[in-house]
This record gives sequence, structure tokens and C-alpha cells, in this order.
Amino acid sequence: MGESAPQVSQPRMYSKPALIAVGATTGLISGLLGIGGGTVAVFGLVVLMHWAQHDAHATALAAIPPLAAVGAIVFALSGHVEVRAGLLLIAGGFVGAALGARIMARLPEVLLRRAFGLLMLAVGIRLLLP
Amino acid sequence: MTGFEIALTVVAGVLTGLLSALFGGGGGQISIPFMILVLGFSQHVAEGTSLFVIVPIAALGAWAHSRRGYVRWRPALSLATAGIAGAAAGALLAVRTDELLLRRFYAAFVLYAAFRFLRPKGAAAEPVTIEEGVLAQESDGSGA
Repeated sequence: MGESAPQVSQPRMYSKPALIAVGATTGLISGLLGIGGGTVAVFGLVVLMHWAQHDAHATALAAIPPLAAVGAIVFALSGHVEVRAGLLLIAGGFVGAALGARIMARLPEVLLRRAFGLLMLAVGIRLLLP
Repeated sequence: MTGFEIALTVVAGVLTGLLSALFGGGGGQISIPFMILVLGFSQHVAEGTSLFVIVPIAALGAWAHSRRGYVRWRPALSLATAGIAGAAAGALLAVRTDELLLRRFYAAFVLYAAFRFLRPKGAAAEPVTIEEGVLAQESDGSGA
């Protein structure tokens, strides 16, 4: 690693084939599972392409709206979008996002990760039950 | 929807927004299970509605990050261009997939995300060390 690492990683960080592979995988999983795919894109950028965590998060977020829009349109054409529930989630989501950005630095991140992790674990198991 | 369900949905939205603001994603891991387990939506409707919700929330998050100069626009464009093709293929596959199978795929993904959240020391710890060096070198650039 040491001093030469950033220079060496520079071309790899912006490698177009790698970005296209990460983007296509992100889109595929986003459309298939109805998620933003941020987890996938950040994993690709950070672990495979050696991006800084924060840049990867920000850039993944910027790439997500067009993907999610295309996915939403495909689902909507098959009648699989509940607009009313969606608008309520969006209204709450704006409040949560604004709140999150404001209090981010003051939150105990490790504790939050554990709480959300346990919630997801319970939810994942519950979804596998009939 | 009853008044109670409407209130619960807004609260689930707040958690969704909070999670994506804090961890740069993961909103779908709250809203989809909520719609399935609480509102009784099918896996397909929950996924389609989740994507609809993600568009403005991710856009808002990206805008907030771009004001602080973290978004690399050119790589984002490459990601999005390839991602659109992937998303169309993924969504077309999803609407043709059987409800139960799709739900199992989704549950597997939630469990994987849960393990990543519960073990941040594993994969996440190493790139964070790299972050300091890379950020110091590049954060003053234009980001293009």
C-alpha cells in the first residue's frame, strides 16, 4: 500500500468495463429485488475497484434514480405499483432523509448498524416462513 | 387503507429515509418487508412500489452528497447507463417470476444484508483504511 497506492489505483478506479460490470449487476439486482442496489454498487466500487467508502456511497446514490425509475416503470406496466402507499412512504422518507443528514454525526453508528442488522435478520427469517 | 395503516406507512417511510441517509442505501430492506408483512402486499407489488419510492429518495440523497462534492459524475453516468439495461432485464425477469420464488430470493438478500450490517469489521474495515489516503489525495478535485 503506502504512498504509491492512490496513483496505482487511479486508472483502475475509473475503468469503464469495471464500471459497466458493476452498473449492470446493480441494475439487475435492483430490478429483480425491487431495491435501490446501493449495497451492490457500493460493494463493487469499494471492494472490487478500491474506491473510498464515502465517494462510493455518493456516486452510487447518483446512479440509482434512473435504474429505479426504469424498474418501477416495468413493474407499473404489469400493475405492480401501489401509488398511494408509495406516496406515503416518500413523504415519510423525505423526513427521515432530512433527519438522517442532520443528526448523522451525532448517532452511534455501530449501535444503529447492529439494531438495523438484527431487524433485517428477523425480517429475512420471517419472510422465509409461510 | 385505514388511518392507522396510513400513519404506519409514513413511519416506515421515515425509517426508510433514515436508513438510506445514514448508510447510503438499504431503504428497500425496510419498505418491502413492511409492505408485505404489515400492508399485505404481494412480493411483486411491494417491489414495484419500493422502486417507485427509491427514485425521489435516492435523488435527494445524491443531491445532498453532491453539494459536498462527493459524487463522481462521470463514473456515475457509466454505472447508470449499464444499470438501466440491467434494471430493465431484472424487472422483466421479476414480473415473470413466481411469487414464492421471488420472495425467497429477496429474503436471501435481506439475510445477506443483515450479516453485512452485523459484521462491519469483516469486509468494511479494510476499505475504510484505504479511504483516508485516497480522500486526502483526491477530495480537493472537481470530481469529474
